[in-house]
Amino acid sequence: MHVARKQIQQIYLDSRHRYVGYYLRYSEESTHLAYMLEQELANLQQAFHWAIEDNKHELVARFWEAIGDFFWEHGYWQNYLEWGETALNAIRQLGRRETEA
Amino acid sequence: MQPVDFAIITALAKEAQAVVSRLEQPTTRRFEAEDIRTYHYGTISFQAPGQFYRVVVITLPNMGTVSAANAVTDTIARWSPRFVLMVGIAGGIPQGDLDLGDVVIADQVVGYDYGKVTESGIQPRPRVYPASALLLDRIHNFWDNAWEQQVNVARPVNARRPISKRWVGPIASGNKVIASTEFRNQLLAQWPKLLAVEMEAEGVFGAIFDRPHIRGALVIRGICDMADERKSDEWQEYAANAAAAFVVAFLKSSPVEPIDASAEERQTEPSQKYHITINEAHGVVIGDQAHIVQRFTSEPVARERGFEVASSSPAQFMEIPGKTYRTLIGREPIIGDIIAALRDPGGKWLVGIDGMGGIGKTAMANEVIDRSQAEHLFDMVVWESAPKLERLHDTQAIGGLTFDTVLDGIGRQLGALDVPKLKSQDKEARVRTLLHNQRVLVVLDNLETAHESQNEIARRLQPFLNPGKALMTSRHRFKGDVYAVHLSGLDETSAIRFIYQEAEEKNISRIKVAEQSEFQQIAQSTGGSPLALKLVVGQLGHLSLDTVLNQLSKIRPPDSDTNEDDYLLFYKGIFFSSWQILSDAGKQLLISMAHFAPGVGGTSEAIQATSDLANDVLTRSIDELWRLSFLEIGESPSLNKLRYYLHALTQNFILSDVVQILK
Repeated sequence: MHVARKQIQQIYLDSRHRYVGYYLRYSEESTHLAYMLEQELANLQQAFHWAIEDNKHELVARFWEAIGDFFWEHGYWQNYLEWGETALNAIRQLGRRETEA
Repeated sequence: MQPVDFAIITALAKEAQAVVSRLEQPTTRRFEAEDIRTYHYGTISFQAPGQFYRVVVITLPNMGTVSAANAVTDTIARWSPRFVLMVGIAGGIPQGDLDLGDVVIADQVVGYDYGKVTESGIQPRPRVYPASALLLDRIHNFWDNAWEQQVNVARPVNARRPISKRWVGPIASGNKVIASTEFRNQLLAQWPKLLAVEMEAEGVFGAIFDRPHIRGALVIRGICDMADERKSDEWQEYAANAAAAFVVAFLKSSPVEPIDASAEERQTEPSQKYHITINEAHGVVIGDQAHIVQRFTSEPVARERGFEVASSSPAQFMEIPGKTYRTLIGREPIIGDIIAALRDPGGKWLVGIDGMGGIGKTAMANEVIDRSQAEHLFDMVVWESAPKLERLHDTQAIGGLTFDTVLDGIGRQLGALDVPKLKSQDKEARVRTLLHNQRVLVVLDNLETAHESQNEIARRLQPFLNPGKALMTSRHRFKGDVYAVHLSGLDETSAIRFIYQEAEEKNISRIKVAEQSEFQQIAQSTGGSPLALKLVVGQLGHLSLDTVLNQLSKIRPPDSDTNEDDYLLFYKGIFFSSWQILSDAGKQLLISMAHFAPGVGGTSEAIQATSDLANDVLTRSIDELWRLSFLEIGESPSLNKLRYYLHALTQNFILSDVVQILK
């Protein structure tokens, strides 16, 4: 296990990238299908956190775009507040980056 | 009403419970305007994908042939079964080494009550009913003895043999409780091959006698006493369970073609269909005379089970996780205690189950829900689960469980979507009203990972509960006004039974040659932890028993006082042995799956996208991980797809020891 450490970590990071991508697509394709979002809420939450952790501001904003209304309409008020605030920060970062560019 | 394949008639509640606990998707149905019965409807699936029998189980209000005949008549009118099975307990007749706990299948039923009264006494004129020739043929060709391992209650200690056997022969039936050697011998004199005596089968056969659409009946009885002066109740539960285990195993062998559901459905008038609505609080539920009796986990499943689903209201699905076990072994006494505590209106409002990770707390909560629903203890069940994932970094704090979010979850699941937006005082008042207006079981799972103290959450929740109750699980012990149950490892007998079941499911043949002492060693080395037992059985698919036992001997087994760090070390020792067996593709899949929420996992589509494995490799790797018990497979509650997921401890091992990213 020790010999393959780098390889293992690379598998982990690559698969994390794909995991975030899959659930972002899922949320965008299911944006009006509450039961689809509800079913995968725990994974959407995980993927969202990884997007934050990896400073993928654009992905964070897209997640929010896809799920924000669902949180508002289906009683996930805490998630609405927390995701909303995080997404707002991400959008600010995006704006700053664009301004700096 | 859609016809069922089998109606199972039982005389006692314990007999019914033993069968119903083995049904898939059990629901309880009543038709009070038309009859007095409670019908437990469910399915029993067999090996062919998507194939299952529709089954209805009833129990009688009284023992005896008249009660049985009435119940069968009602059941036939309501459900049009193709076959009727009488399942339960009976008194045995000494024949060969027939013993307590054995299962007897009647090839004919002798109604011994009939006779002619003459001056010189009563001349017996028994009626004889042959069993269904078709089912009897299938019984004679059903050779699998694995049913004996499916008996999930403790075998009384006074058994002559360690295992039960099955027998086929005549059974006498009549309205007498027989506790007399003399009477037993009188029957035996008339019917030398008689195997058992009981009180209902004659009524069952009498009721179906002139029903041409019923293809036959069969009686299956577990022997609970020997119909003599020593008659006692000691073996009743085991015998009832043995009979149920046999019947379900027999049906799982698909002895007859199931009813063609689609064809039957086409013949059913729409007005006769049972109506289901999608309820905001419950997902798909069956409405029965203004009270909700059962849920289906999903609309597709409800449709598959033959119910019409109204599509008028938006679907929101209950957050109860799917079952990951076939039968819970060795937990009956504790489940009984918990159900009794939930049933007791004067008892504590809070019930807490604690125990180390992998010991089966969530499975037990799931089982308690099923049992409490079968008894109609609650109108609704709300399930809130704290995330199990180890904290990776500060941002993971989002979404943790607090008292406030518990109230949000209760409100949301009871359909009051405005609750989360209310201020604290208003929120508490609203949830209090919601919970006081109906009997709600609030389940809080994994409280050890809550953001607030579990005892503080419990203390604050208690005044909200009456008339409902709360069931909580945690790795930490509960304090305060809680009916607390500590879950420890399975005892040796149950652990061995568990090993058998697991090995059978995963087709691991090494178990068959193991000796009792080796089983005992596995049971002791794993501390009876179901998760550890599963992992060890998985290893036996690849490694010799000696190697596995040698590896286990190097790990200190947990006991009830083991702290969290120590039992994590214990599991890691076992995980590491399993990890070393894995192929490269299996390792890649396992690492990829560590991203998914534990206990939730993902569909094959999500896992393929994440792992980037080719379809055939993915299929092989899933099978490999499942056989090694790294991975669980369950049905998606609402998407009607299989889900693949890791236990939280497995995920912890991957993240902290394999990838080494946990802080």
